[in-house]
Amino acid sequence: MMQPKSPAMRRLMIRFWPLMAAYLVLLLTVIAIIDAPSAPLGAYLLAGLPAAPLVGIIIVLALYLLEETDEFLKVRMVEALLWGLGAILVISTVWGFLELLAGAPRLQLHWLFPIFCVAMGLADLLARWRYR
Amino acid sequence: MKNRLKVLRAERDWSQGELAQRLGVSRQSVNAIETGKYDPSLPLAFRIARVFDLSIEAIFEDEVAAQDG
Repeated sequence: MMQPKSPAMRRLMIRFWPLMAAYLVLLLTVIAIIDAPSAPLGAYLLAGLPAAPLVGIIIVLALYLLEETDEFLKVRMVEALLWGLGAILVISTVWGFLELLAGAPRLQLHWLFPIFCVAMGLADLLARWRYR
Repeated sequence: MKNRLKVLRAERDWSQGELAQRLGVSRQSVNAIETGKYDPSLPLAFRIARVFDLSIEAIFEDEVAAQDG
């Protein structure tokens, strides 16, 4: 993710990292206490809990786009988001066909968010090089 | 888009950071505009023109018009 360079970017970082920390804590806690194969229906709520901070991160990214007054930084973020979205669309579509037609191992859907983040990070590196 | 930002900045002895501060944008924005890698919006182009007390055409080159001669 980009280094803080504007007030909106600083706010994004202040909001992003606590949510990421909450995600990791919730994920490890839920994995430790839930018994997946025999989980009752009520456990769906518990199992879905680690996704809440990730939804928060999407909202925080949207807030950044609303709050950023530097048009160039906003364009860079939009480009990074498009790379992230493009990556998960391409990977999930291609892998879906591999699963359907070639018996490829199942891709767990929760990997899509980390893939999205990695693609955004790579896009940011690319942007730093492109606009250097 | 080609522009005279670097020259105009040098004439006033302003750093990229100083110009960025006057424009209320990041230094990366000034760098991207100066190197022609990012074209500013019309409102930002007007802001740049105001800072240098020039018209937009005196700063940015209309490459299509230049080609048409």
